Amino acid sequence: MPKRAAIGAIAVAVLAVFAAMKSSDLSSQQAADPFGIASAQTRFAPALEMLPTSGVIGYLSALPAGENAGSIAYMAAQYAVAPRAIVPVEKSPVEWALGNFARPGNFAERGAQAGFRLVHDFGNGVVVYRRARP
Amino acid sequence: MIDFLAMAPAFVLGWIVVRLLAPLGWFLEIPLGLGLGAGISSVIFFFLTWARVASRVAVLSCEAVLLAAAGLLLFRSKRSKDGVPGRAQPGWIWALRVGAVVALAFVAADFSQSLTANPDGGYDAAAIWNIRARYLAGGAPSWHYGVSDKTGTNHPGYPLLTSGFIARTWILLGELPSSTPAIVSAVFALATIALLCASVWKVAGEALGLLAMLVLLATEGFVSQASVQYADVPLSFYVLASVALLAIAAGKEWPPGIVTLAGIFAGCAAWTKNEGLPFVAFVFLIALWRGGFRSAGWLASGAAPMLIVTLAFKALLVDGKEIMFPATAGQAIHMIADVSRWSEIIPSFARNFWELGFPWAHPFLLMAVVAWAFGFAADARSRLWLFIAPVGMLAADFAIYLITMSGLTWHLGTSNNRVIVQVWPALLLGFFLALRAPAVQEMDTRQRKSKSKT
Repeated sequence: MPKRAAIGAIAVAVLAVFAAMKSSDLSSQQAADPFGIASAQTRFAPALEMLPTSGVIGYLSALPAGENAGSIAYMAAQYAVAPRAIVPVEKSPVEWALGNFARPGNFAERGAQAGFRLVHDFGNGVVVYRRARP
Repeated sequence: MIDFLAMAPAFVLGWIVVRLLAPLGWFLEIPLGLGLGAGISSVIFFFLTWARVASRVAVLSCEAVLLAAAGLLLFRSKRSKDGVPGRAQPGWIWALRVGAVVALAFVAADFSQSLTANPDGGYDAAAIWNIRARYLAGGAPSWHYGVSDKTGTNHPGYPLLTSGFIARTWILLGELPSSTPAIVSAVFALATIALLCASVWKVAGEALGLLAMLVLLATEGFVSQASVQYADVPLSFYVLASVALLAIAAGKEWPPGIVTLAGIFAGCAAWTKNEGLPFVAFVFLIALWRGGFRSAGWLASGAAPMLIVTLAFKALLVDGKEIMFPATAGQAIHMIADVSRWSEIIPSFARNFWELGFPWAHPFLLMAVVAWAFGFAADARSRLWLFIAPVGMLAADFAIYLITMSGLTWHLGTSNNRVIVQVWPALLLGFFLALRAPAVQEMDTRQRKSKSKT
């Protein structure tokens, strides 16, 4: 019986070590930042210096929030600007807004359509807007 | 490193409270103290936040007062000599020790690689747990965003233990580095591994303790969850801690201190994730059944503070509600009677148990080898109650899937593996404590030999 215990215990130890090694190998193959969370923090960092440090900020994007890519981009932006909250500009009467665009375009016009004027284009699809005064 | 230093007062406080209530030896007290410290300081931070006075000074002051009080009590208490249980070890124990160290090194490498690729963890870490920590760390102007669905928090009613502890540490640091939630994840993963090993070691000896640890380290489904920064591994820690303490209490005639501590950890489970709420009910029933009314009372007194905090948080603060459940009982009954839901949920559980590990080193295979090698204890049936709480949690999850208003396929696909991870260390504990310990084996062999001589 003690022999059986020794064989079983050593077999389990060896298999467990190989399993842990295989897990580690798999982990080294995983995609980096698949949801753009880390890159969003880098992209939005310069804009944060211009935005208020707290409160609700509007969110403006060409990506529809109802679609997968749009909701992931929105989530990544939310995380990057927190503890400020962001909500789509059409949902809340906000003073400041953050633009998050995947492709180049006329960002000033996009902001104007929502009642905002472009304050600064930081590049990389990141734009800060402020509500336009009549 | 600075993150860990900022967490250190909480961990020391947790260890002192564990030592005061259940002096079980450093090898059990340290992992228990890490989890308890996170839980206690999370609650303190929650109250400070609710009172709109959360700040570095306030957090440190509260923790310092509690540390001083607990330290004084510890100083005045009787010293316990309960240390690492010493018993004769089989000659092959070195192989398990080496294996455990090597496997742990690979798991550490796995964790490090995952964090290099995704320093902010998985999707839900950013979408739920850590974003709420950021809102809480923002103090009075922003903490309520973390409990309101009006500003984009997907699950405002999810309990706040991990988010609160991360936010408390961020407030002490004065910034929001990604390393903080990563270290919290690492601490909980390591504490869970250490606690499983230590609790089995305590009851059944070093060999089975190390084997339990090795099987957990071979569970890819658990290891891969360690770095994603969700609350499932912390919940698995609290579930394991509570069940392990009850197992130890059962062998010592249910001492009030250990049972109360088991209750405190059950309360921590409720303050970590919603799945912790049915867990509290299950451990209460276990304490009542196995230990009687007095034990149930001690367990309830331990669980009550954090349970009340959790329920008060949900009732008084959360702005918005989960749309997970059907609006009427009739709708729920209709869903439960739908055979197609059962035929989707049962295979999903089977598949996710299967996907816990690699086929050639699957945890079930390793457990079968260990059972073949050691055999089950003569009184193994009398320890089946250890499975009640973790299996009960799985049953509760099954029931939730039956009546979920979310798309069932989506709900299963995004959570079924994690609800298994939540109970997996506790299931391993139950399994290993049902085995025949090597010391008992050797005694049996000697008895048989001496009988054959006479």
